[in-house]
Amino acid sequence: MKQNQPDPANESALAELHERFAPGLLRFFQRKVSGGGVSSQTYGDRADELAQRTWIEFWKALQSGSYDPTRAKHSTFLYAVASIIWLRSVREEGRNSRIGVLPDSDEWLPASQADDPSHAADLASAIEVIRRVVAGAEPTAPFGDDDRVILCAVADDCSEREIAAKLGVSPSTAHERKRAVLARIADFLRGKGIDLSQNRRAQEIPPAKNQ
Amino acid sequence: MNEQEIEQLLKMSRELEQFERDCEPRVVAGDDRTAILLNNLAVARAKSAARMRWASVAIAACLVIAVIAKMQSTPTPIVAPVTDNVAIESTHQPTTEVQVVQSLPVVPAVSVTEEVPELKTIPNVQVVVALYRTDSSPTERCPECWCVARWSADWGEGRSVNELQDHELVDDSMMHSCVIDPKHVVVIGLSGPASSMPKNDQQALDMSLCLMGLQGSASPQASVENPNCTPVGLDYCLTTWGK
Repeated sequence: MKQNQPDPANESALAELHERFAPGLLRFFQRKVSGGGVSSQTYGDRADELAQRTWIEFWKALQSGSYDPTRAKHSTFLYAVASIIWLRSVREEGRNSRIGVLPDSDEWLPASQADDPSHAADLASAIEVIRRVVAGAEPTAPFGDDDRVILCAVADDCSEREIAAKLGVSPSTAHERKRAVLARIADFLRGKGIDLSQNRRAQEIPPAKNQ
Repeated sequence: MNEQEIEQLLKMSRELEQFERDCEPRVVAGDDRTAILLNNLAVARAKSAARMRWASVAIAACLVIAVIAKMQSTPTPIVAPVTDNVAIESTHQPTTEVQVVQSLPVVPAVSVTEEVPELKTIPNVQVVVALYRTDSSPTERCPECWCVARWSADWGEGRSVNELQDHELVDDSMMHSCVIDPKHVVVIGLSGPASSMPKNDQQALDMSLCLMGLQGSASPQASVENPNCTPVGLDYCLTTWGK
């Protein structure tokens, strides 16, 4: 029978992680709840609450073994959990997301999936791979310097006109090249077994009941 | 995954970098790094003073050029705007009398201000630096450390730090706390040229500790405010909050 007693070693590790990441996590939520603008004590309390919820989910994920440290760093996984908590909170409040980073988040992360901690692991893996690709640290990735310039520009929310200026090409050429690079990176992620859309579809189709 | 999803992932990767930067320890012991802090502060102040000198020279040069240009284009008597008590005489031979003034005080050229092209002034910016502590914080390993946060502020209607009420700074600091449940907060609002502002957390900490008179002590209660710690031209307002 599985004991519900926490492992002291794990608790110690979590305490260390908490000490290391708590300030960043709090700032993450402070930026989110304030939309980068007005500040107030209410916002501060909200950020605190979301940070606490994130730690609980993070702890659960560690306990359940859904987090694989070989696929993503602790910081990446915690960030993924925090992003999902934020999306869930936005959805719960029934207001428009001010997340900025994920404006179309409802389509991307349906409620059922946002409640699934394993999705945080997939999200973290995807972000981890993308970071390595952008940094040129993924030796098997078929991306050249210009491709990485495009990826960096997209990450920085640059317009296609700005990308065109960076590459010294016309905006229409920049548009085509951007589309091609994004398609290739999606293929590359699929090749690594990462496809968040597939997770979404799997969530949308109820599994057949065992007879 | 479609294009939009990949784009979102790319943006998240950038946001993750910010998250990791926020997680980096930005805490510095107040006691054992005093020498480094003082040295850094001295260097920062020297650089700032040099920049201010160059800016003054550049503005004076612009004024002189503008006035000379004006004198050459219209033969009206003009008193040149000068700095450093030096009078400038026009080399142009005017048709009317030229008034030459020596040892002028530093005054604006009232008679030509309407004609002189608009000069760029150095815009003031508002920055807040806050130091946070919990009971044993920011980390258990370093109970004498502060967690430093620094951000640009906009208090609306172009207000400078001198026009703020104390609670506004404290309210703002609650939004940017880098520790959970701070027990003691020191907030410093700064208004002035961007070039004079602390460029990084270390400089911000240096300035803050200097302002609090804390080079030799980590206790904010024992502090005596020292106004000679900010670069020239920088206004500041220091307030503290504690449970």
